[in-house]
Amino acid sequence: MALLLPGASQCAGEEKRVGTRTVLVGHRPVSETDAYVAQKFCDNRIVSSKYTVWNFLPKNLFEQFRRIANFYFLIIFLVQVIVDTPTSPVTSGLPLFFVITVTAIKQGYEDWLRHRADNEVNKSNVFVIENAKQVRKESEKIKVGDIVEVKADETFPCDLIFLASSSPDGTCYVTTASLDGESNFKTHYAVRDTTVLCTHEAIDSLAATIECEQPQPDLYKFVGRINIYRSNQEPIARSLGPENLLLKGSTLKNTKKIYGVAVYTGMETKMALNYQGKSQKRSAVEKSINAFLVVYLCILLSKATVCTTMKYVWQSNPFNDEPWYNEKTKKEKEAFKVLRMFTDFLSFMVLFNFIIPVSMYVTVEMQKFLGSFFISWDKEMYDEEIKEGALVNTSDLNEELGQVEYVFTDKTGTLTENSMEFIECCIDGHKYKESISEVDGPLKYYGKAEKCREELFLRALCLCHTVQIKEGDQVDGLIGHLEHRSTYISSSPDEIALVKGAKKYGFSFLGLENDYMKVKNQNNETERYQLLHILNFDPVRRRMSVIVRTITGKLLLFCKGADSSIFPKVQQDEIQQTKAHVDRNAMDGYRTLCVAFKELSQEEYDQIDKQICEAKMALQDREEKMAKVFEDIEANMHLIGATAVEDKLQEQAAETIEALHAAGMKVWVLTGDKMETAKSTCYACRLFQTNTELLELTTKTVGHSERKEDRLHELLMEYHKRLLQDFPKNRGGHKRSWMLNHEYGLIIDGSTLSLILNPSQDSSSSNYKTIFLQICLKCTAVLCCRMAPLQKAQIVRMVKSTKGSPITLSIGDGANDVSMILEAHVGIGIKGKEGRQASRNSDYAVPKFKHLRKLLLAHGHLYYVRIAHLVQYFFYKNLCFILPQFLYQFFCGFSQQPLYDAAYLTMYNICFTSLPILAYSLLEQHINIETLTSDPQLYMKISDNAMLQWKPFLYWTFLGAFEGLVFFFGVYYLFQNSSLEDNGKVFGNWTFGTIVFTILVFTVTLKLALDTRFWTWMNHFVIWGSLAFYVFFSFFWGGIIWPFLKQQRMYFVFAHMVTSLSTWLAIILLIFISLFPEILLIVFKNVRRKAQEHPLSSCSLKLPAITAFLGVNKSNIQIENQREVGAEGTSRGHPSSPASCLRQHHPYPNYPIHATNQKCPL
Amino acid sequence: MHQRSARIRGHLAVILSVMLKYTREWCLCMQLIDYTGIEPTSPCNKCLNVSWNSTPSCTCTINFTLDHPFESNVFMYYGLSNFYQNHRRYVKSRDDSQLNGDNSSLLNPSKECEPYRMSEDKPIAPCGAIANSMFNDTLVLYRIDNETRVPIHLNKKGIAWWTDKNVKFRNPSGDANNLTALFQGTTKPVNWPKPVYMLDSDPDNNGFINEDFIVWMRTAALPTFRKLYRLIERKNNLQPTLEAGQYSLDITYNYPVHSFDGRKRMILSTISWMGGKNPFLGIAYITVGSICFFLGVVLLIIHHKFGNRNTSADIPN
Repeated sequence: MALLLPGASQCAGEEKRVGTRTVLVGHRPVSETDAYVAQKFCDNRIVSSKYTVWNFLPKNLFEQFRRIANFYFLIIFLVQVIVDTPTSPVTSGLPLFFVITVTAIKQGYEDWLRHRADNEVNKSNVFVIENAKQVRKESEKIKVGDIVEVKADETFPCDLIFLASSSPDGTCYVTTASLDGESNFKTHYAVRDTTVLCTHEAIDSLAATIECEQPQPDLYKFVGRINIYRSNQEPIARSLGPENLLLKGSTLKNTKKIYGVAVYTGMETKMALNYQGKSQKRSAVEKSINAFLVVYLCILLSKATVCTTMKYVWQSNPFNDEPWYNEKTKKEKEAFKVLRMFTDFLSFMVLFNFIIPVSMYVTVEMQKFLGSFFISWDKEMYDEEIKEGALVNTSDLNEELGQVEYVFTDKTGTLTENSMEFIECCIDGHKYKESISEVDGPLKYYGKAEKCREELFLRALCLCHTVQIKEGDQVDGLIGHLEHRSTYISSSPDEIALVKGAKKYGFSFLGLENDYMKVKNQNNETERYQLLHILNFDPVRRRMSVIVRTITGKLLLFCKGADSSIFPKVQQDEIQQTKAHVDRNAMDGYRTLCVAFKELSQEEYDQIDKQICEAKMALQDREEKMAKVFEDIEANMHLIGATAVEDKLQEQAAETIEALHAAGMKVWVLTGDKMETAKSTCYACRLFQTNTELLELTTKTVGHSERKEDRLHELLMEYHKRLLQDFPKNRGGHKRSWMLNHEYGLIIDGSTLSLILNPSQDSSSSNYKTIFLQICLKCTAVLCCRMAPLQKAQIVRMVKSTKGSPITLSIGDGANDVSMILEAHVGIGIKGKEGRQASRNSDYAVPKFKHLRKLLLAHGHLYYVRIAHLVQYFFYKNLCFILPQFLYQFFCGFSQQPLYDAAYLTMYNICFTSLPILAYSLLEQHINIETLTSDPQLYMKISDNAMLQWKPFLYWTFLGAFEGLVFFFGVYYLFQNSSLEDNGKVFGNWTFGTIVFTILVFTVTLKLALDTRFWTWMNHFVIWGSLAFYVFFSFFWGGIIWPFLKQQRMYFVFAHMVTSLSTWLAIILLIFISLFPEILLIVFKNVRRKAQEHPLSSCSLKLPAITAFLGVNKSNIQIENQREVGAEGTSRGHPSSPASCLRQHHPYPNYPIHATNQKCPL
Repeated sequence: MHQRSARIRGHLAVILSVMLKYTREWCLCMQLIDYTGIEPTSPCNKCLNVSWNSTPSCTCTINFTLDHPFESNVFMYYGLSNFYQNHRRYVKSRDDSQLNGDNSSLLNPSKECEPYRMSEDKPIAPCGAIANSMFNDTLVLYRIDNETRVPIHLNKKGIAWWTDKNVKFRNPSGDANNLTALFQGTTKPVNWPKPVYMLDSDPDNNGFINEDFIVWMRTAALPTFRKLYRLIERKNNLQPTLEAGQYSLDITYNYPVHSFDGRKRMILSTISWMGGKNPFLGIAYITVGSICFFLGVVLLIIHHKFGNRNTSADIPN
C-alpha cells in the first residue's frame, strides 16, 4: 500500500475540538467596524515535562502510590507504625522507601531530561517582525498572531501560516523528518495574495485575519481562511489548507527565508498534540502476576485468620493467656477484646506480609528495562543498508513476543521490498514490455497501439503524479545535467517507478516550475503543461488525478488508480482488453494501475475550478466536500491503459512465514492491494501452499447483485460446514490442532468484510460475524485484501476479542498500518521506505521482515521463559520464606513472635536473593538461540502462557510449601537435642531462626543454580556472591553491639551456629532434602532423554513407574521439558528416531509433527 | 553424570549415617529425671503448689540409678516444658543496654520491660519478664556410696556463651568488688528473693554476669526446652565421671510450674563432638542415604541396560 499517504494518520487526542479561532496577523486591528473579541491563546512554551521542582514530591508520590502494590505496602507500613506489631516499621518501610526512591529518581531524571529538552526549544532564538523591524525573541515568547521569520535549515518554532518566502513563486521546501520521518522535501505554498510581501516593511503592512479551526492533532489536516483587508476594499478571502501550514518541528530547506504568522503555539501545535498520551499496553504476564497476587493475598489473609482464631482458642486457657511469668501490661489488659483481636489480625498480617514480595515489582521492571537492550544490541538484527538495528520503544511487552498467536502483516514494504520496478504496460490492450537483457535497448512490442495513444499514455504517466525532483547543490541546474544529478523523490515508490518507466519509453519528467510541468518527449523536445489542479490521492477513492492545460490550451484530466476504482468511471466498452492484461499481471504478482483521461471544455473546467475552490474554502467538512467534488470530476473518462510494477519479495520472507507457521502462529496478510496481486505474493512467500484449499469471500464470489447478502450467507454456511467436518467438535479443545488437518486458506476483500461486519439488514445476518470468525480461526492462513487502514484495525480487534483473547501481533511499515499496529497487543514497525510513522508508533521496530523470526522465536521465547520463571520463583521463594514463620506461631503461643531477625526479614528480598534471579532473568538461555531460531516448534511449548498457568504455579507453590516444611520441621527436630555444641551450651530462639534462614537462603539460591542452564561469569558472580555476602553480613551483623538497636538479639548468634558441627550436618542435609525433588527430576529427565536417543531399547525396557512419575511432572516443569526438546530438535531426522518414523506416515512431510505425538516412545 | 553423582552421594550418605548412628548410640548416655511432682507418689509432690515467696523453701530428694557409667564430661541440664519463653511479649521484655552495664538504662529501663520495669517507684535491675521469671530451683547431686551421700562437685562456671559473659552482659561500671553500690537506686525483680548483686559470692559470677542468669536470658526457641545448669568435669582418666550406681538429687523447689501445666526435669548427659544425644540427624541421614543408594542402583541398572557410556548426554548449553 505504497500509494497511501494522508488521512491515514491516527492521532492520539481523540476529542473533537470544535469552533474556530480568529488570529489577527501582526496583532493589527483590521477595521474599526468589526468587533473583535480578543481570544486567549496559550504561549509558545513547550512543556513535555510532568513535574516542576515544587510539585515533584507530592505528585510523584501520589502517582506511585496509585499502584496497587505500592499502596498495599504503604498500608502495611502504616499499620506497623500505628499498631504494636512484631516487626519494626523499618522492615517494610525500608524496602518500600527503597523502591519508591529508585522509581522517583528514575522518573525525576527522565523529567529532568525533558526539562532540558524543553528549555532548549523554549529558549532558542527566533526573529519576530514587530513594527517593520526584526526583533530577536526567545521562542517561548511567541504569541499567536506574531509574524515570524525563519531562515533556511531552521526549525519552525510554532505552527505558522506561510505568508511569503524569498522565492518569488511563494513556495518553500520543508522536511518533516523529525515529525513523521519522511525525509523527502515537501513543497508548501504561500497564500497567493501575500507572496509579494517578502521584506520586513512589506509584511508589516499586511492587514489580515486568519480564521481557522481549533488545534487538532492530525498532521495532514488543516482548514482555515485568510481575510486580507486592503484600504477601502472588500476583504479578500482565501482558503488555507495543510499546504499553507508550516508545522512546528519541521525544517525549512532550500529556501532562504520565509515569513509566517503563528496560528498555533506551544502545547497547541500539532507536534505537541501528537506527542500526548500514547495508550499503554499491558502484557498478559502482568495479568497472571495479578492473579497470583490475589492467591497469595488469600493465603496471607487465611494464615492471619487461622493464627488469630487459634490464638484466641489457645488463650481461652488462662494459664496460657497470662502465666505468672509473663504478665500483660496495663494497656493490654484494658484494651477491648474486639479491638485486640483486630490488632492481632493486623499484626499477623504484618508478620506474614513478606509473602507478597515488594521487590518483585522492582525486579520485573529492571528485568524488562535492561532486557530490552538485548534486542537493540542484537547484531543479527542490524541492517547494513539503513545502518540501523532493531529499536525498542517499549520494554513492557518483551515477554509478549513469546506468546504471539496471530500475526497480522502488511504486504507492501513488509513482505515485499517496496522498491518498485516498472515491468510492463499495456496501451489499449497492447502489451509493451521492456526486454530484460538490455537496459536501454529497443523495446519489445507485442503489437502496437496507435502512436498518439501511446504518447498520450506516456504523457499521462509523466504528468499524473506528485513526484518531485531533488536536485544537486545547484537550484537552477542545467537541463542537460539534470539526469545525472537529480533524483526523483516521492512518498510513493510506485509513482517513481512509473515516472522512471515512462523515461525508458522516451518521456521524462523534468520538474515543476511556476505551475508548469516540463516533460521531455521522445523527440527531445520540452513540452510544458500548466498544472491547474491536483486531485490528491486518498485511500477511499484510491485514485488521483491532475488537470493540466497544454500549450495549445487544451484542458486535460489524467487519472490513475486501482482498476476497481477506475473501471466504473470509464466507458464500459473500453474495459475488456485492458482488464485481461490487468488480471494477468495481478496473477503474476505485479501491482497494477490503470490510467485514464478525459478532455475538458473550458466551461466544464470553469465549473470544476469553481467547485474545487468552493470546496477548498469550506471550513467545515472540507474533506467530504472535496471528496464529493473529486468523485464528480473523475467521471466519464476514457481508459488508455494499465501499468504493471513489480514489488520484490523481501529476502527470507517465505522462510520466515514458514517458521512462524511451524511455530503455531497464524499469519494473516492484510493489504490494500488487489486480490490477485496479494494472492500471488502469498503463494510466493508460502503463506498458501499448493495443497491449501482456498475459500474465497470476495466480490468475485459474492457478486455485485442485490442478492449478495444471501449469496454471502450461503457461502459462509457452506464454508462453515466444510470446516466443521474437518474439525470435529471434540478436537475443539486442542488449540493449534489444525496442523494435522487439511489446510484451508481464506481470502476476503474489504467490501465483503464490511458487508459482514456492518450488515445492512438487521437480526438475520447479525451472526455473520461469529460464523465468519469461526471460519477464520480454523484457517491456516487468511488473506484480507483491499483493506482500508481502519478495516485492518477492525480485523485485529475482532480477533483480539475472540474467546481466550489470543495475543496478536501486527507488523507493517506504512502510515496505513499504524492503526493496526496500535490496535494489536504487540505492534512492530518496519523501518521501511514509507516514512517512519509505523516505527514511531510501534512497540518494536526492526529493519526487515525476516528479523521477526529471531525476534519472536528466540528473543520472545527467552523473554517469556525468563519472566515466567522470575515471577514463579519470586512467589516460591517468599512462600518458603514465610511458611516457617507461620509454623513457628504454633510453637510460640500465636504471639506473633518473628522467627527471623528484623535485619534478615528486611534484607532477604533486597540483598540476599534478589541479584541471582535478576541475573538469571536477564541472561538465561535454557535453549540456545540457534536452536530456538532453527526449530520453530519450540515456540509452541510456551504457547498459551504455559509457564504461568495454574498447574506450574501450583507446582511452584507446592515446592515452596514442601521446602518451608522441611526447613522448619528439620530444625525443629534438630532442636529436640539437649545441646548442639560440643561444650554443652544451648541455643536460643534466634539461633533457631538463623539456622532456618541459612538453609532457606542457600536452598533458594541453589535451586536457581539448578535451574540455570546458561552460566556466564555474571551468574557465577551473583549466585556465589550473594551466598558469600549473606555469610559475611551475618558475621558482621552479629559481630558488633549495635548502639542503635534496642536488643542485641543476633550478637554472635551466627558465629556460634557455625561452630556447631551438628548444625552444619543438619544444614547440609536439609538443603539436600529440599532440593532432592529437583535433583531427582533432573536425573530422570536425563534418563528419559537417553531413552529417547535409544528408542529401541527404551521401548523394550518400558519403565512404567518412571514414566508415570514423569507423566505427572511433565507439564509442571516446563523448563526441564524445554531443554529436552532442544535435544529432540537436534536429533530430529535421525533415522531411528521415533519422531521421524512417524513423520514418514504423515501426509504433509513439510510440516513438523504436533508436539503431543512426541510422547510415543514412552 | 547425574546418575553417577547421585550414586556417589548415596554411598556417602549411607556411610556417614551409619557412622553417626554408631558413635551416638554407643557412647552417649543420658539420664532424665522429672521432678515436677505431679504423681502423688513422687517425693516432690508436696512441693507441687509451692509459690514464689514461700519460706522456708520446700525441698525434696529423688533417688535414681545410673545403669551405665558416664565416661566423659557430664552436663547437667534443667528442662522446662509448656513454658513459653518464646512468647513475643516475653522475648522483648528485656533491656539489653541495661544488661550491658549502661548506667542510664540501669536507672531508667526501657519501656519494653513493662510491666516489670518499676517496682515501688524504683527501677528494677534487671528489668523485664525474662529476668523476673529466672529459674531458681537449686539442684544438688549426691552419689550414694555404701549408704553415705557423697556430694558431687558441680561446676557453675563455663555454662554461658563466652561472648555473652564477657561482652554482651556487663555489670554497671565502677568498682567491681562493691556491686551493692553499683546497683544503688535499683530494686530487685518482684519474684526474686534477693537482688541481682547477691546471686553469687564470687564477684566474677555475680550481678549481670552471673552465668545462671545469662543462660536464662537466652530465650529458648520452643516451649519445651533445656538449659545448661552445671558441669561435672572428669577428674582423671582412670575412672568415669559418674560411675554406674545409686544417686540422689536434692531439690530446693522454688519454681512453680503446675499453674501453667508445666514440667520440670533434670537431665544428665554426656556429649560427643557432635553435641548431645539426638536421633534425628542419624535417622534422617540413614533415610536419605538409603533412598539415594536405591535410586543410584536403579539408575545404574538403567545405565548398564543402555550400555552407553558416552558423555554426549550432558546438558546442551
